[in-house]
Amino acid sequence: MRILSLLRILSRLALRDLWLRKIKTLGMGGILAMGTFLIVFGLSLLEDIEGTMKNGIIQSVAGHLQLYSKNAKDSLALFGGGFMGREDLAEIPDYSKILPSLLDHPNVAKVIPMGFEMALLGRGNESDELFDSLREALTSGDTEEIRSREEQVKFHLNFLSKEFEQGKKITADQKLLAQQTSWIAEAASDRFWLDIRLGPENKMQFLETKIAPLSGEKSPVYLRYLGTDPQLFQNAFSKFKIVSGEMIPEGKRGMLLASRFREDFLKILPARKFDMIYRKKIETGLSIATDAELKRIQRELALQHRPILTHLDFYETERLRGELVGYLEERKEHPGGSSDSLEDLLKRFLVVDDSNFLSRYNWFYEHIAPLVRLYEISPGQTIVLRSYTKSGYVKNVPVKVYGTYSFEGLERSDIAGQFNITDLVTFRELYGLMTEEALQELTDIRKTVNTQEIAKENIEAALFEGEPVVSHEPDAFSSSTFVDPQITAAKGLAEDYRPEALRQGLIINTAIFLRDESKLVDTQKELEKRISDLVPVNVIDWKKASGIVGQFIEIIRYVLLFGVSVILLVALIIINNSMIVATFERTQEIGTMRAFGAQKGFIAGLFLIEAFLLSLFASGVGTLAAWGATVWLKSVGIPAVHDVLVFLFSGSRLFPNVNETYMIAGPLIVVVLASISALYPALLAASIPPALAMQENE
Amino acid sequence: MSVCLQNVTKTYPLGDSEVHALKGIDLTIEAGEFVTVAGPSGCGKTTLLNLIGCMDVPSSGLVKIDDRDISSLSDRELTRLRRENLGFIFQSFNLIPVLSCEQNVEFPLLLKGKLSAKERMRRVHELLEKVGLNEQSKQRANALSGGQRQRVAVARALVTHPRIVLADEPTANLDSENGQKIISLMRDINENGKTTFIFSSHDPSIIALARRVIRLKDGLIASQT
Ligand SMILES: Nc1ncnc2c1ncn2[C@@H]1O[C@H](COP(=O)(O)OP(=O)(O)O)[C@@H](O)[C@H]1O
Ligand SMILES: [Mg+2]
Repeated sequence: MRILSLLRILSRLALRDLWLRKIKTLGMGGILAMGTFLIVFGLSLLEDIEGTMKNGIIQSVAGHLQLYSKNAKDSLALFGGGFMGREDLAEIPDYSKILPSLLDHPNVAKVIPMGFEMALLGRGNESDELFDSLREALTSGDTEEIRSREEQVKFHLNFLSKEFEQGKKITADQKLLAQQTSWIAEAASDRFWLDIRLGPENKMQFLETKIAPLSGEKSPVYLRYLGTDPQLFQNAFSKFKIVSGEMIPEGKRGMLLASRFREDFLKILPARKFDMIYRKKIETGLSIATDAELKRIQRELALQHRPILTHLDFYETERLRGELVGYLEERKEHPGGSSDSLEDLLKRFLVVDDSNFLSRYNWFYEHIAPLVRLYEISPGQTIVLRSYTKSGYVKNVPVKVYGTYSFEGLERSDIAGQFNITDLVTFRELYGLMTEEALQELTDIRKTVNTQEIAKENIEAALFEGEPVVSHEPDAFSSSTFVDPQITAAKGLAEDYRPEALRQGLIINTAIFLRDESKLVDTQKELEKRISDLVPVNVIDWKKASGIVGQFIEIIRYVLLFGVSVILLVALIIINNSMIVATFERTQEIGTMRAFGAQKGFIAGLFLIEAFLLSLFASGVGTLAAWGATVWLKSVGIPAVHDVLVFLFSGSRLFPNVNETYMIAGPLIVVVLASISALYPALLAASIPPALAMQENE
Repeated sequence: MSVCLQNVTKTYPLGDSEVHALKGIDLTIEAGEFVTVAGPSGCGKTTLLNLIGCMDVPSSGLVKIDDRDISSLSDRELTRLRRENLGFIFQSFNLIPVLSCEQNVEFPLLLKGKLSAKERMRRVHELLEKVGLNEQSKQRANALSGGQRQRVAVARALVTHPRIVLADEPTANLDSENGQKIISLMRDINENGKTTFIFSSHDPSIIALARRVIRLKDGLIASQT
């Protein structure tokens, strides 16, 4: 009872003191409230992000655990270790040796074999595509089609000659230039087109060897791919979904392009620029007028008439010109020169600003996109991947693209959306390391062909391809690398494979799904031990396996904790200091209380309660603010304004949850710390002798 | 409750040297007396009152309250002794500025505990009535005039019904009219009850109001009546 009434008077005194020193109270309280807000809001937000990111990582490619060889020089980083993404990981020579042992573990639900690598994607150039379709038309004999292609090629030649006109002024080798100009003139002549209808082969070769190289080469694209068991992959990873085309059929070699990769690297440039502006302007809400990055993209878009023009034939050009005049006139952006060329009109059309962007964007996709080949590669097409194998050879492997895919919620993420999926058989082909199996096969070939003279260096050449694969020319991409299926057959690489191939042979790593995630740490250790008896392996959890991004959240957490610590430290120092000052200011008051019989504990309690109440109110306010902010953000969502955020949020918006643990822990920590910092001033005050009440401070 | 001092000295350290504030005091004050400690500034009045008020212990000699030697008591015990038996009035009133008059007067009662809120309020108002400040009871202490404040301080000193009230120059910060009023108020209370009053002063007109005068000079008793 006495304690209670003492506490009552203590808090009354403390409250009155706090009230009397309003400015000081507000200052200290403000800092404490801010610290609490940061703890409660920041940490719970981080936990939410960690949750969504974790789900994104596990359900897209990592699984709960990842297993890879202990001989690896680098550690596994599924979303890139940061640089070029080509880690030096050792191979696990025979998957069939470890698979039964893995599946035997009671907590293992699914095992998905994997291997990551990079290859170059052959792309050809604009002329190649044109001449390919011309060749097709000539073979078919369809006169309409041939006529249309002729127009297209002539249109292209017209471009080339214009380019060469300009080139004249800057090129040093005037003789070569003159010769090339004459080739273009020849190809554009009526005589040439008469002849090509009579005897195509000769003239086609002229186009392909003399004219095609003039268009210049597109820069090669690196393609990161994951070799796996496609069917198993599809079943195991819930975020995986086909976007266009179809799934790689069972037992067929094939590839699924990452939708994001296709958008970013294989889409026609003007469309890509339109998309980039759309994302930044419409989805993120930036403005072209003020955002420097947007402005730069806008300027680039303005120069993109050329890729559109090359895709159009004569008739399409005329039609589009008419439509574009109509569009621009309607919006009073066309000064009226009806004789303007399509090039001039497009140049005007592609200059966008904040007010006309959406209209231009929609018109582009409605009227222009259908006329051009929007993507360089589409489902159904066969591409050639060029890899530098582990044994040092260059190897070209054709593979059919069946479709495109993405990970649900991570569609826009650069980090998760950039690897393409293929089967393990194609992967091994590109990886190109001799397996025992392959060596055995080679011995068999030797017997049948009866050639003892196959030199060791040529083993691969003999085994995999009908022609030498060792490439010494530096300009390896000078010729068209889009290959028709016949070439595939000629190289003796079957489109089909036996399903067993996916359960044996070389792999790099496996994803492992667990039945009970709570036993992750134990299972991780057990599996590592169990498998290492067969092959030395590392087993790591999803966070570690994800590479830098997995650690990213830890980094943010440390930064946040550091920030909170600094704020709290400042707050505590201020509390400590101002209370010490207060003990001096209040000496007489304290002495008086002591004279009237207040014990030392009472005086100490007065100061402690003051700090306690102040921090309680302040942290209450901070917690309330954090709660309010969270509830509000839960209803509207936090937009992922950056690609990294898309990955972290596992979607384009994050809907944070109220986290009760932090709502209790946050204020508790602040109150305890504030009380601790009041401890010294409290003891100092308690040691003031009662006689000081009598002393006059003149 | 009697106070007895035997050969009391008090020495304060002052830098490297010492100040001998009291040099050997022998003094007895019986219950119910109305005593003033007189003398010029620096003669040791405050020091003497501090010792009698159990706020400090002597350097040598004995200070006995009801035959109890205060030097043998701990800080806790001294504090309790003050709380139960003593009341204080200070030169600069020393009211707690954040509290109202009522709460200031109530404060010693709260420290003492034991009483119910109702009983506390009854006593508080009884005393505020006595000092003529019932009307200002809700006002913040630092909103009052000097004379009013000192009257609140008198009420506070008396609210626990102490046996001895110590007042160190209670009139020093008041004009002579208010000073006189405070002393007569104290004297009234002394005459109507058993409370001992010991106050110090260097003002002759105030000293004249005391029944017994102890004159100090340089830490020694020069004369007493
Ligand atoms: N805490 C102290 N420390 C040092 N000297 C003190 C202290 N208190 C009082 N003194 C000295 O002791 C002497 C007596 O002081 P005090 O009792 O306050 O006299 P008075 O109240 O009569 O003016 C003075 O010389 C004073 O300077
Ligand atoms: Mg004095």
